[in-house]
Amino acid sequence: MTVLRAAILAVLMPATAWAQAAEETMGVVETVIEQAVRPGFDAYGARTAALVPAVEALCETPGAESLAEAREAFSGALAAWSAVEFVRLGPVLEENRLERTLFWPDPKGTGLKQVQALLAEEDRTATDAGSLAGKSVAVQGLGALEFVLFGSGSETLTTGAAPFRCAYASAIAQNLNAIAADMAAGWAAEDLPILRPGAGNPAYQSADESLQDIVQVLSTGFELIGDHKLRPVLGETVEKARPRRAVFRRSGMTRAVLAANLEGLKAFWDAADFATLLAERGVDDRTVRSVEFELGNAMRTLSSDDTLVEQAVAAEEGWGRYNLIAITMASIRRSIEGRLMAELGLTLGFNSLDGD
Amino acid sequence: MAPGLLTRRAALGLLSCLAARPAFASDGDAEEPVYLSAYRDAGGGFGVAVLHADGRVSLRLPLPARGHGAVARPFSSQAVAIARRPGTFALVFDLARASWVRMVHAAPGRHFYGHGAFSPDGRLFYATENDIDGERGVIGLYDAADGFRRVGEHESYGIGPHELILMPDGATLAVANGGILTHPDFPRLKLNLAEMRPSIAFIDRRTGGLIGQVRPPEELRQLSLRHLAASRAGTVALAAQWEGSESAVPPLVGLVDPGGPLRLVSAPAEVQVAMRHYCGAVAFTHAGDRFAVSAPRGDLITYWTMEGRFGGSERLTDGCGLAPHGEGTIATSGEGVLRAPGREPVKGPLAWDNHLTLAG
Repeated sequence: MTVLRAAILAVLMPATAWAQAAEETMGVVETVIEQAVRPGFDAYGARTAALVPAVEALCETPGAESLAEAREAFSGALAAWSAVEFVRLGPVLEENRLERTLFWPDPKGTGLKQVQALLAEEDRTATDAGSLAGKSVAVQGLGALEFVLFGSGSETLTTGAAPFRCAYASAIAQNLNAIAADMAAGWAAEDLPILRPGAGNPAYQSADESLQDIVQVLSTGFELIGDHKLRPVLGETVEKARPRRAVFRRSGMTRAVLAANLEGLKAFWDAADFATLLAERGVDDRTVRSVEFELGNAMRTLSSDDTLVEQAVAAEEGWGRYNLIAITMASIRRSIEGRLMAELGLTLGFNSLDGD
Repeated sequence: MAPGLLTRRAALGLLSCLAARPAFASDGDAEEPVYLSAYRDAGGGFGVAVLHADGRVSLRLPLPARGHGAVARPFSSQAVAIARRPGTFALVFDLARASWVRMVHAAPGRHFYGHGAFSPDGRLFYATENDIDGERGVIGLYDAADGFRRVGEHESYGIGPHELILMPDGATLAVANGGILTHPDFPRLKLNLAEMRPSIAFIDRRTGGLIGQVRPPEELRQLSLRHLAASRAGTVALAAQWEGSESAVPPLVGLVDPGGPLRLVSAPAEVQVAMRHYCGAVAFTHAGDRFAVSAPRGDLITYWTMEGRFGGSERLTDGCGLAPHGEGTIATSGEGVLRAPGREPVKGPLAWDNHLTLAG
């Protein structure tokens, strides 16, 4: 009856209490932006900044060691990105920054084909970060760089026999860093629309709408892991598993990406501290506790084995483990959309869902 | 005049009379219009309903999942309720018999987008569909006289075709290609926002040939054109959804005259902001002298003149479905409200889904 209680409270609230409730709501939004979003994008910016000289060093001094260092810098940047990947709001959605950073999912493998064609043609305009930024979103982001550094032909980077390939990698790194810097600068702005809800703001007109998007980020984030990253790999049974669909499989980063996704979601969730907001409104926090319990289980399950995801899902035990994580993601999402939103007094109009 | 032709005309006239005054409306005023809408019931179940301007629901049929658009078959008491994207079912039902007729399933590698239209004689049914592997929009052709067998397909000349209507010339289909690429494996992800190319395509319904196509200007290429309606004179009004920058305030409504350019129009700034980048449906009045556009995220129904001038708005929480009624338009909402001009709004237990269609 917690939702009913919240509803009764809402009806009984005088105007000053409404203002106070809006202030508490915005407190959650501000804390999430300050403690999770801004540091997360700053960290990603720092990792892409470190990626640029690592790739340049590879081009200047080709060799196994410099390739290993460039690959490690890539993995660092990818992990930092994965910790914020699910934040698909505000500055991330300006100027196609999301798609330029991560062209995914790509069910037809369009990105790979374009990158391979570009490598075969040695398109010089792809070796300049400025002109690369104007090309297809599929050839300028993390997926493209993974193929260049880890895909077939990447061994030529150790011998100096592939100056074009390396120059292209360098341009991608610079491009990623420029986009990361723009995103971090966007989040640093004090006048972010999500922090300034009101009548003149086309994106957010009330504190509840800002909070709604914060909660939606979480829900979508768990959906990304379970429904979009794991389910297509798992298929319906172990016999129908499709290991080659695992994200960032070439760099062996699939499990690290999933772990960083979960850690990023946990940081975001912890910053929101919904239990405190619910307590202020006299609503029981059992949904919050159940989400935290399930999230903890999923993180433990993921870290319990370090086999490559594409190998793990081909065997009964590993498939079952990742299937459990996918099921847990769906369960968390149901808790958030079905219960937490109502407990927070948020409603999504039946006719307001995206794209109908 | 040849007797055969006369007979045929008379028959057509009689049938169209029947279509306008279907037997299922006989418990009320014979002149009373009848509407179709998908719904969600209080228990979370989905279906399609026949409803009346006074709020009465004379038929409810369950659907296996959430429906979207519904369309009545001319010269028949049948109608089709189409699954919400990326659904793969379309239910053919009979309003007079109050029963299911058959379930039509999307072809392998295709899913429905939620809208369809009939040929003027009611023989062919056209549905917007996704060619999933081909990453292109198509229009599926179904023979309504042969159990809704799929008999072919046309190109939609774009990605993500959404609403499809038959133009008043009876020969042209108008399709809103929303421009957004989706894949059923990732149902809520938009895969090509950076490369959207939305359009309205006018297509010869017989040959599938492209007659004409209009697009938003380059700076508005992330304006997803999704819903449209045509006046009796053939002017198309469209309702759009913005996928670009959250701080922009782009136009969301447009008009296209046959052979003419796309004219995008805006309400005064405060209304335009309040429309929240998102329109849900569009309908002309019967006279075709005005049209209404719903903005469900902004809880607004907006009204527009044929010149594209804003003519006022009304609040309707989660209001979306629109259809002609009397001299104006009738609206429904996700909170179960039905509001007809000159009547008190009526609230019922069913959440009305995005679209309301005049059935006769």
